[in-house]
Amino acid sequence: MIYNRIKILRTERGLSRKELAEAVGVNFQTIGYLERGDYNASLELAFKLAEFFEVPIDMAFSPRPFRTMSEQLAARRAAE
Amino acid sequence: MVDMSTANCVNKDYSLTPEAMKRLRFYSAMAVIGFPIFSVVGMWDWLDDFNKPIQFIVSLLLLMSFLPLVSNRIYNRLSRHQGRLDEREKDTMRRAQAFSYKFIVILLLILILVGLASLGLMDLDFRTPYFSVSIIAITAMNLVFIMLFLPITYIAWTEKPLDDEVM
Repeated sequence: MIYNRIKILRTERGLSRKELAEAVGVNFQTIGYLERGDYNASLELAFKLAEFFEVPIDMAFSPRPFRTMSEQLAARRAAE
Repeated sequence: MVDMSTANCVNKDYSLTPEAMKRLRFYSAMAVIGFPIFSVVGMWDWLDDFNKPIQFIVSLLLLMSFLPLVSNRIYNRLSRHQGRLDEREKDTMRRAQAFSYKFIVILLLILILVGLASLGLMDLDFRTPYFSVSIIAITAMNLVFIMLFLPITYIAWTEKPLDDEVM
């Protein structure tokens, strides 16, 4: 299982699934399945998405669940 | 302003809403299970007590279940536009076809084995009514029917619906 942040990245940019799908050349429902974690993107699609969002690939995809915003803030505060 | 062209395009393109998936599941089950079962029952004269017109109407209705299936958007998209499918859709189609081929090979093997066993056990030969042209035609028709609609049935029963697909 590969976890992803596609939904967060897409909503942050105010994009619809259809707009994102058109930008990376897939059906908009594939974006829906990706966001729900029901489908693992190929390496090619993962790179396309990371490139589109202009983020490193490991910021968009991970083999481990992403930490929530509160967990990240708590970790940063503890480090300070 | 609502973008009507996008909304229409989305709905006509390829609907995976729970309602659309329920309809697809119903029609595909009817086509793939209902018609062959009724044909077999009719073929072996187990329905002699029923009126022939009723038998004809039921088999016609079951046969007509292919109409909503062939006009289904998922069926059209996956069967006619394979060149334009994305990686997930191609993968779905490959899995559906692989399942169908395996199922049909197993079904054919069972039919051949049952045929051979019945020849030996029942002391039949190829001149008996069990090997009549009509029975062979009905069996072939059912196999073609199953071959055509098994992939879409597999997709209907394995794909998870997207209730928020237009977001």
